[in-house]
Amino acid sequence: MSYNNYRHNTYYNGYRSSYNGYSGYDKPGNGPGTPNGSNSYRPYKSYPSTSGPKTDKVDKTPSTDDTTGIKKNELTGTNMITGENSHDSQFDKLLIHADYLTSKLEKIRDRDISRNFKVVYDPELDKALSKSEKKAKSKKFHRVQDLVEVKDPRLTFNGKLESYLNKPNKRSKKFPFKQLPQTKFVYDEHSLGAEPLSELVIWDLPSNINEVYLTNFIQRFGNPIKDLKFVNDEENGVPLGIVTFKFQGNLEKSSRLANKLITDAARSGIKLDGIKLNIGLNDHDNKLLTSKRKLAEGKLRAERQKIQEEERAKFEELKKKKEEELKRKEQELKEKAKEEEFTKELTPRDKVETNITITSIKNNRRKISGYHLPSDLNKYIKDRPYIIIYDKYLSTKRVSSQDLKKVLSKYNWTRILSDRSGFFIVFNSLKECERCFYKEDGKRVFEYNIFMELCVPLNFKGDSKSNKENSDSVNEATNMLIKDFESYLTKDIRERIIAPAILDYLSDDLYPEIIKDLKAKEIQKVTPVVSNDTLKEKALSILSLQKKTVLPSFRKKITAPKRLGISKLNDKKKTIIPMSHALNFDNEESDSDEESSRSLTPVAPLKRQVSETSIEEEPKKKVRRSFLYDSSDEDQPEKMEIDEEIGEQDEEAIEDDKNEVDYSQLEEIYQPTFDFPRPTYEGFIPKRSKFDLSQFQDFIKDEEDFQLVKELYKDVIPASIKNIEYWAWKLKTGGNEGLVTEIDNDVDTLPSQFNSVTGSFKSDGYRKINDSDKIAYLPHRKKIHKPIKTIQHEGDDDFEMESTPSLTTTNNNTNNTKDTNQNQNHSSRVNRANNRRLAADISAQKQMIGSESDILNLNALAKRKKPVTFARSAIHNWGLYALDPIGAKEMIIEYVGESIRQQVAEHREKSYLKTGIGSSYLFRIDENTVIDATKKGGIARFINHSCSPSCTAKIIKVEGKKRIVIYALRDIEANEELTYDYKFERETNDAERIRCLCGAPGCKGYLN
Amino acid sequence: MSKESSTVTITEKLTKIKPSKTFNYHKGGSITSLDFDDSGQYLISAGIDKSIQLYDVHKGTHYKDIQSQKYGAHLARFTHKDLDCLYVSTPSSVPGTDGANGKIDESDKDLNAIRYLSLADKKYIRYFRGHSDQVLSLEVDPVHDFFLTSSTDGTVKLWDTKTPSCTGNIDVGQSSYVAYDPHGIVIVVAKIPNVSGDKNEYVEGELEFYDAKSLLKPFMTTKISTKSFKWNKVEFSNTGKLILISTDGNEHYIIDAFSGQLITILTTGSRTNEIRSNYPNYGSSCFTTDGKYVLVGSSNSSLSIFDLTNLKLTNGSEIVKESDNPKKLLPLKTIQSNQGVPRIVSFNPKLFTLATADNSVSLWQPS
Repeated sequence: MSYNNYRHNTYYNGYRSSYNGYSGYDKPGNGPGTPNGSNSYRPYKSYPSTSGPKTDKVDKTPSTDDTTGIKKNELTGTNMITGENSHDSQFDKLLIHADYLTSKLEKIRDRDISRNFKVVYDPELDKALSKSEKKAKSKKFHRVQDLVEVKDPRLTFNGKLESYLNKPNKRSKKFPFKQLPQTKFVYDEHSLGAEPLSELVIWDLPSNINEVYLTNFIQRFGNPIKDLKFVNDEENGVPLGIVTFKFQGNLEKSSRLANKLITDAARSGIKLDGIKLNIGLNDHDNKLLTSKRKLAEGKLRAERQKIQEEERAKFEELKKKKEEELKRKEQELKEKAKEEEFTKELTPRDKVETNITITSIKNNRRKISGYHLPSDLNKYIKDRPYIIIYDKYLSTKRVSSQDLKKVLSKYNWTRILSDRSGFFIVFNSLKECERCFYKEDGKRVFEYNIFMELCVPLNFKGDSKSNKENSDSVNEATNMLIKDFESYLTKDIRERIIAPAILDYLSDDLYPEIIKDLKAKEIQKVTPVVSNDTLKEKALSILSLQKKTVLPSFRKKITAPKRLGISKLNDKKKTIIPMSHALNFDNEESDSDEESSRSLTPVAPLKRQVSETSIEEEPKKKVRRSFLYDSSDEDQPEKMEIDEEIGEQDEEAIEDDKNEVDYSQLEEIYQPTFDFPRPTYEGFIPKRSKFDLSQFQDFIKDEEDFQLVKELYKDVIPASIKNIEYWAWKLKTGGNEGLVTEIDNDVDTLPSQFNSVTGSFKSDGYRKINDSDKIAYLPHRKKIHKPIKTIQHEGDDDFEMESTPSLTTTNNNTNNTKDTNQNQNHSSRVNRANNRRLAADISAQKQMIGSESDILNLNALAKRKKPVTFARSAIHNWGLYALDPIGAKEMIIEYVGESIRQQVAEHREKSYLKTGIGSSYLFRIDENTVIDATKKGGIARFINHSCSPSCTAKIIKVEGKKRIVIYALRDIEANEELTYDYKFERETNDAERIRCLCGAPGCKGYLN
Repeated sequence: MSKESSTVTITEKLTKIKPSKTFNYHKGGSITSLDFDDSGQYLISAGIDKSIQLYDVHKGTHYKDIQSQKYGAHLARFTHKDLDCLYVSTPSSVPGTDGANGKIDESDKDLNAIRYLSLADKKYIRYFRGHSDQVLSLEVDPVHDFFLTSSTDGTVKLWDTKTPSCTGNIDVGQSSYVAYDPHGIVIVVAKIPNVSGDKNEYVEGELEFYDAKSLLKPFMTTKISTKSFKWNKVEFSNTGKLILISTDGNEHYIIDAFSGQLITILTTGSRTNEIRSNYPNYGSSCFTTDGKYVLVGSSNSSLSIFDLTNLKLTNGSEIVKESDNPKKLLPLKTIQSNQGVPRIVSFNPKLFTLATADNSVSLWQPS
């Protein structure tokens, strides 16, 4: 009943009515005026017996307390006047309640001392006894009557009173501590008083500091922070540079950290980005925050006002400025107009200085009157401004004008000429010329610093824009045309006028007496007077056709007598006229003209056959040339060779003549023949390709031959050979080292700077030779390293094959090589097919086994590898060589190495460079992957770069992985070095370019 | 952090104490006893809500809630062993209101039994039966495993915690309080004077000093005349030199422990400071551990500190004249507390912590 009543009251009537319910329960005497809040104790009375939804409803009423504990504020203690604890009524009244206890306390009955007792012996506590004994024995009591004397035990405590007073028992709970440890309580909901302050305020924070940055910064001082708030201006949301935050964790810790931070800040100052932080603890009333906030807002307002004022001031200033500007502009316009007029007058007068040279930056760009211009270039330059790069700065020999053109491609030059004195870069426009001059002067190109001089010729008319340009191009065209015309004209004059004139002049008709004489002499069979000069001339004419044949003179041994005979039998036979050769003139008519004149001379008429052979041999000549490295130095030995041959020819001729004249009565074989020439001695076909001393000696069969030879070499200055016998012996025993070889050795002279200082390289000791210098060794090295086969070499083989069919069986033969290659191709293909089948079998088996063992993993590429080996290379340090011939498109070897990422590769490249590993063995597969064979890798890394490579590198996928594989581009012979194109990216920085030493015909000069 | 502690002298910091924690685990019901354990780490409070609450004083947190709904709980005291505690049952006085546990069966032997409870596992170790009426005080021997009880049945009983039957009995003939000296060799039995309605009248109580060993006869008896205030506790100081008679009124009495003479009267102010309560205020004042100060709770929700250092004492042999000491001593300082009337005051034996209780428990600490 009371419960319902309460509920009703609480809900609808509030305190008053509920108080009535309470008062009925209270003791009389407690009238109205008992403390309020008394309504709240009623529900507790019924609380223990209530359950379910009803209780919930009660709990929801605002005035009731929590079931777990009463909130601090609502809990009222014992009333100090009534002594009533309002909460007590909800509990049962206990027997210790004053109502019951007071009367009991007052109860006094007679004291019966005889009931006093003290147990002296309790068997229960006697540990020596067993359970049964404990039960059997009885307690022993002392009674009052047993007690004789009672004394204060303190006086005799441990003998005396002092020990009682001064020696407190440490085991006692009541130990008289004068000092006690103090504990600190963790702040929680039970704590009294204000919570420890934990909210920190930072003010005057720079506006550029963002939340994340600040958070991270403060985190260093303890826990992460929470409740980070930037305080903004309430009106317009402008940040005030005030931040409030707390450290994470429980209040206590947060507060401790906050305090620590503040003491730190106060002591040493905490700097964020060099700005000292202003930190303070915010109190519970937000005093600090509000004060700072007001301050900041005030500042902001002030600032804004200031800014506004400033803006206003600025605006006014701007206005003024604008006005001023307007005025100034007007003035300027006026001035400009004046100026223009002035300049109009000036321009024609203010002409470019002419007849002047501006020297290079090296000479401080001085202006010197006059200019250097070789007269022969004058017509090309034509009074245009030009830049001279003197030969001493940029060697015209070493650098081609093409290179220079590339370098200066940015500039609009007209032409680049070169002269002994240097390069001339001609410009149409002076401006462009100056631009080029001031930009490029003194810059480094290739190995040279190009120092320029700017010259403006005397008659330079200045830049007159399009007009000038037009005329320039016209000039250019006319120049070219004129040049062409000139060349055509000279050619025509030579061919059409001079040549016929000379021929006419030389024609027989003009010299009837001479011809008559000659004819007469012929009839008289007088030995023709053969001047050495004409002889030589004749020999030359023959040799000029044959001089570069591999087999020089011995053929003529066969043919020469024939020719002689023929010339005697058939006067009308055609001969080759030297003059026509000289004049580049090939005329049938003049041929016939020549016949008569030539017939008198003992010149061997060249048969068609001969000329044919010479033609046949034409390619060989080229071959020969390619072996002789075409530098100017090499021309010399060639000539010597020719001289030698000339001698031979002469000798032959003389020999033949003498045979005819003096030995007519001799044996038949020695008789002169009239139908066709017969060799007196069996002609010999030399077994060796070289003409050497023994062969030469073989020619001279008798005294007469020797005489003839002597006569032939009459004019030749004898070589200064001290010991003829030794020389001859050496030549003979030297065997293969014929004359040619001797000459070849001379070819490989090194540039002077590489010559030995001491005269012997062995005594020079070791020294570093720069890569750039190594290019000078290239011909030398190539010579030594024959294994680097070239196409020409194969041509040689071709010839050998044709000339000596028996050689086709040798391994060197190309045909044979091709055959074997084909065989290999075939077999390798079959092999691969077989291998593939095997691999498929194995993988099938692997699947059956289902294990992941490496044993069965096949490297398909390893199977296809060709036999290769590495050896020293002419190109660079080491190279890879084929041991067996390899056919085109065959796989050779895989480029094996560590597969690394791009970043790692870059890192490694640097570290390799640091540790002194100069060679790069990094091979890029794709953007992210690089194969590094520097430390771990296969021998494929030794393959060198070549600009005309024999191989190529391909990236193929094997079982989903990218691999680098080297394939043959063409057929490769055994012992040939394998090369492929590295395909480096073009390096723009000249200093970092790597010189290419491949020596291939089309070498680009650089790797990158 | 709670483990960190710094030692402070009591003299230095006592005046700076203030309540820092309050616990309301007795549902607002009046608390009738407080006690710290030997280590000073734990505090138990017993209340009329028939529960015992255990607190951790190191951390300042509530630790356990032990209900004793059937017999109620009063005078919960720690023994020396672990978290074992003794408490006195206070049966419900209103029969029939609660059918489950409210009836008082006079024949129930357990009705006034003392219960020995292990708080750790909430198991009763032993019941000590012997008193026939409400137990008024229970004091544990500070050194030995004995404890004394006094009851409204007019007896004081000595118990050994190892055996359920009492090992000593003194027939006082009226209600009394008991107290142990710090060495556990002297027992004081204070006969409670009957309080008349007129507070200006003087009433006479009596202190009987017993040797704890022989027990049967007091070796000294002294009469103490006090104003007509209800005594609520007798306590020895830890120095063993003083005895405090704590009353509900504004006067508390300091007795020389050797001569039994009145040294001085601690006066907390006006008479209205008398603590009125329906339930016993067992110890509204207490000594500090050094025996130099007395803390007195007043009904105006304040705590008064009395300085006893200047008192002249007999120390067992000297003679102290009445004139040597001030008749009345005024508090050194009175600290106002907002946490109810500190009806029960208890000083921690090992830590600088003070506990007071009304219907909530407050822990005081020097700030």
